[in-house]
Amino acid sequence: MPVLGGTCRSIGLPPKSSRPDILETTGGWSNDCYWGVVLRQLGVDRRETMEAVMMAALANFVNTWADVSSILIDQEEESE
Amino acid sequence: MSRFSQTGDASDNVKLDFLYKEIIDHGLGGDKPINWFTAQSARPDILEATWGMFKGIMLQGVLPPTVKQMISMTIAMQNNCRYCTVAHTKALEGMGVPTDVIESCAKDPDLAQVPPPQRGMLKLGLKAARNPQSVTDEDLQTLRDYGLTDAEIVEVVMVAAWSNFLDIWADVSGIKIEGEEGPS
Repeated sequence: MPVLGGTCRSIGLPPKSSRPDILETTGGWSNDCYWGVVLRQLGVDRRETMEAVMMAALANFVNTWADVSSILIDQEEESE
Repeated sequence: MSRFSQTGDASDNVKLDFLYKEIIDHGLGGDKPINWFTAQSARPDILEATWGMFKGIMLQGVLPPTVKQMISMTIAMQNNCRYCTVAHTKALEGMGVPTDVIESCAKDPDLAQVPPPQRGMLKLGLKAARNPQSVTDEDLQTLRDYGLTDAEIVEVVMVAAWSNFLDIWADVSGIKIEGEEGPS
């Protein structure tokens, strides 16, 4: 289900005008399907949303270092 | 405004107040920290972690600050992150980096105006940030041939990975460039 970058229709959200103005968007994301509203409706608050975004960014950071450094998986290293 | 609440005055939160003062003391803000940090004010615990990473990777270490800012600026361009492109460009200008060098970082894929060792670091950083699996042993050897130590190359890769982190938060949080904020 395309939550990010999808359309409101695809996930059954009402148009923005009939939704509470929970978070104002400032660009980049579609006003018509604002992820903050989606997550809020799922019971996720802004503090939790921030943590999710930080985890995504950190995962990218960790993956970059793991790939460029070419580290072995620990268990596989022990078996060599 | 960003998509997250931005507290300018942190005086009623001891941890946030301490972090804000430290960030400002390091030149990353005026009467309050820059928006990249204030957009995390709802979570001082996370801000503490990201500030620690920012400080350790961008403000400390062995590579010249200008090289780190060049790596971050070119990656921000690659990631199409306007906030970070502007922030790192301003930082480079503030450090006295010549305009032709900054423009070469921004516009020239060959980075012709950038001296060879720094060019090698930028190219490795760009490659690592875009597709880390594409980095080869030869890419790392190129930097070793310029005389870089493993300690310096680790820092290049960390700056590249951290720059992706910076760009992700800037874009997803929707922060405005300082000076371009509208009425709140």
